[in-house]
Amino acid sequence: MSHRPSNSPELPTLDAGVTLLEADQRATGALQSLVLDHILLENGPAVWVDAKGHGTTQTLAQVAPSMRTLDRVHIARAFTPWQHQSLLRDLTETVDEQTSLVVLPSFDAFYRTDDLRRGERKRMLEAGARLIGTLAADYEIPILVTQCRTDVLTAPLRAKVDAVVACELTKFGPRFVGDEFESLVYPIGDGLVQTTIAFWQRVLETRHPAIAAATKPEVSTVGSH
Amino acid sequence: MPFKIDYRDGDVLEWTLTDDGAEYVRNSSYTPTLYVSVHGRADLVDLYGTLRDHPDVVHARTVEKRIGFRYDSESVLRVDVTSLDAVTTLAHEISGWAKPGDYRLYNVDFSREFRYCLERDLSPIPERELSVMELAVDESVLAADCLTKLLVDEERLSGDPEAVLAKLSQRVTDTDPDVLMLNTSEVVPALYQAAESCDFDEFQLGRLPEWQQLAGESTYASYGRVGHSPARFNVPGRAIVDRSNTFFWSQSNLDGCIDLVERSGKPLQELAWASIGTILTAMQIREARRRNVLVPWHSWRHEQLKTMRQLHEADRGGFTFAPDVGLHEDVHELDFSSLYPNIIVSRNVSPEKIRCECHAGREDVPGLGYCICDERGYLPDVLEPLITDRETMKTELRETDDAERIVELEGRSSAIKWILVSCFGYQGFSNAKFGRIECHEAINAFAREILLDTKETLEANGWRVVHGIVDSVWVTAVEGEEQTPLAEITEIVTADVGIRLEYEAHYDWIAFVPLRNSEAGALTKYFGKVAAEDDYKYRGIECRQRSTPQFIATAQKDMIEALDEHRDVKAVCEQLKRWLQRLQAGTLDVSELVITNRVSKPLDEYTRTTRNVAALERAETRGLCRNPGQNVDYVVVDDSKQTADRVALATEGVEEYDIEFYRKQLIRAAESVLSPLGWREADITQYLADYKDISLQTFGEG
Repeated sequence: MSHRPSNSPELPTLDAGVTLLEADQRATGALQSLVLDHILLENGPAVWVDAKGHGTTQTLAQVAPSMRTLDRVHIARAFTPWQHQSLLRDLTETVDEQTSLVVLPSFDAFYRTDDLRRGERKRMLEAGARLIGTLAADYEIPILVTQCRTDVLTAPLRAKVDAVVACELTKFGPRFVGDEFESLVYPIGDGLVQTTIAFWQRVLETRHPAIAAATKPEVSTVGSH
Repeated sequence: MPFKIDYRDGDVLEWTLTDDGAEYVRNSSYTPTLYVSVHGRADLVDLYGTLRDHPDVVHARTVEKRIGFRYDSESVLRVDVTSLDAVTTLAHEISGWAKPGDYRLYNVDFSREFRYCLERDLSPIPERELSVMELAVDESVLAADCLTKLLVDEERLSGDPEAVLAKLSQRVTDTDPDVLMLNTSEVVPALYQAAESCDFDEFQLGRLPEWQQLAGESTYASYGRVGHSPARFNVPGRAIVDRSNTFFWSQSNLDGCIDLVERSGKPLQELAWASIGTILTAMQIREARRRNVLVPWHSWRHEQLKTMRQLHEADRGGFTFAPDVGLHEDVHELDFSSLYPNIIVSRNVSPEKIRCECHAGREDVPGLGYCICDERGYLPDVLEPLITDRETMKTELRETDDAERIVELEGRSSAIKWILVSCFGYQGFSNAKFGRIECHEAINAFAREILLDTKETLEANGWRVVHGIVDSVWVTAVEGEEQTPLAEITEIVTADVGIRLEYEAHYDWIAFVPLRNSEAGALTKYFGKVAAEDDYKYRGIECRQRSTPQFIATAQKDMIEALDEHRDVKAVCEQLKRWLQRLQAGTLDVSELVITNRVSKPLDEYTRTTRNVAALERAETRGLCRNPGQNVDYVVVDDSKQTADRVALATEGVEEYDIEFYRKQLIRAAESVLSPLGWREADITQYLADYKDISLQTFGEG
């Protein structure tokens, strides 16, 4: 893992177990960047169970240093609470020895809808959280989750969380903060990077210059100077 | 066969039409049925043991059924329950007995009449022509709670409530209608309450005493829009149609509705208030039953994993060429006939056949790499008769001159059209019982390929494509090139694609409108002059929008006519000036300036002070109830205000209006007409300002 340029910006490393990402809503692309960075460092594919359009490929395609990276993210989208639940139930079979990461954005989203009775919401979220716990115990891989809201409903999910990473938006750009981790604001803004999407693009290009260079030779990465 | 089913006192009444009325057969032994499948570690025998002694259960036993179109038969539990209400309560109860997803339920949420017909194999087609009675009570009379006048078959009955009810009652007895067509379903409780307050005990609207409320009013969100669903009522032996709550009757006619009764198995009353999706679902439920397939209560089946790259391809949506912004002379429109349904039928796009295991690895869907099974799917079987029947109707329509037959065929054809138009969107709709997102993606992928191939063929034959959306292309001849006649090209494409490409229309000119703040074309904003006819086509511009005041719409159409006549920006601006002068004189009939807007949420949920909010506030202080999904009509009287005085309701009868506000609206409407020719709002206001300067100058000199 030491093939990265020494002055490259840091991103949190995802360890085995459940990591909760708490990102500022305006920090678009934080989740996608963590996922892409992880699969570029590790070899196996990621399994992504999507809710409420987080898996919109647009952001991911924009941030990815290479379109080929997208082949390494396997996604199935839920459109109802029941589909989400059965995707979670099927995860133990979907995930195999190759899988290097499981991504579960907006884990609670479907369990908040009017389609469900109140008791059912709680029951289904609890069952979902238990499935995640089992998955974490069975496979030594990182599971990255986000939640829409921190409240009583999502307490069972948080009980399964091993690490919390926050992504906050500073006026110089986004930065990550974790229990044992605090990233600097990356000095690549210099007034040129206007959007967070462009920011993540630069971060990933800088951290994975070989992949970026192979597919986008016209882009000179900051780290190469 | 019955045309109406009533549930009364635990029994079911099947109403059959007779030569001079209707009669019923009472069924006291009907027990609705639901099914349960078990998954995970749950056990069928355990469940059977529990259910056998349940008070709501009449009978439970193991049967062999398919839990979905893509499954073979397996053992499930068939549960016959005591009553209709027990179906839902028991379903909730059972699903709570194990981990979510361990017990899955089927055949739970059917509408009541439909369920009965389905389970008893009855086809609710009326056996003779139905007699209809029209009954209307004014909204203000309903609000006043004093029934002094109403309309029966366009005849006005008035007087004190007792007299009105007596006359109505007599009329109902004399004519004995099969269908009650009401202007709003609220008429039912209003009439019975009025009868109660004047002790008119024997008053009845049905063929037996008493009435029932089937559903309360509600607000729902569908496809991102908020709708309002009025309460529903039932009277024995007659079908109620609520004019304010019937899609199919309003879009077709009785013939169209009866056609769909036959196809969907939904009795007339339920068909009348059903949405397109409900009817399409009913057709698929019938097909499922024919194939021993159960109907899932909740959609547990999820999509299969795909790579983000595949999703990226699939996410591209419906097909569009970027419109060539501007005014094009001599344009021809070509349309594929029922493109999406025909793709489903000819490419075998069916939820249970797409991405099948038996042909994994074969890339049948262009760009997505999904395989499709060689075995024919059920969805093509459901849709094909709709397509061919409609073709036959259209052929007969072209040939017949029997006026009655024409009305019938047109009604039936347009009822089917709506089902066909929606079958594609249904596949992508999250709550669709039988939808599957991969079908939605595949249909799009096929459509894209078909349109691109068509474009190539056209271009190779001397034509230029100026725009294309979904299933239509607009072409002009390339100057200096020889053109293969379009009639020939449509033949070639039809043979290649296997779906008919039709010559739709010829326009003298057509103008594609750019987006308001961009040079790029808006996909569905255009207007044009139909060749050899005194007719124009408008799409997406102000005069087509529901909310646009009549005055603005008329002005815009007039400016388009000026454009047709002169093909000149200034001629249109001169026309605009005339309309501005009419507006500024302040003498317009205010009814021409009424804006109609749909309420999207309750008043207290609005956070910004918009004109809509002002109108809602005014409605509220006047005791007029406006629910989300309903319309509110208002005139802008002073747009600078933030209070309810910003607008006046259409019904208030005000005579003044905010000239400046409507002036801006006029200029916006003019911009839509002129922006294809490169003139934007700034150019128009500049032109108007210059004119003002000139006229002042002229005035000063004179």
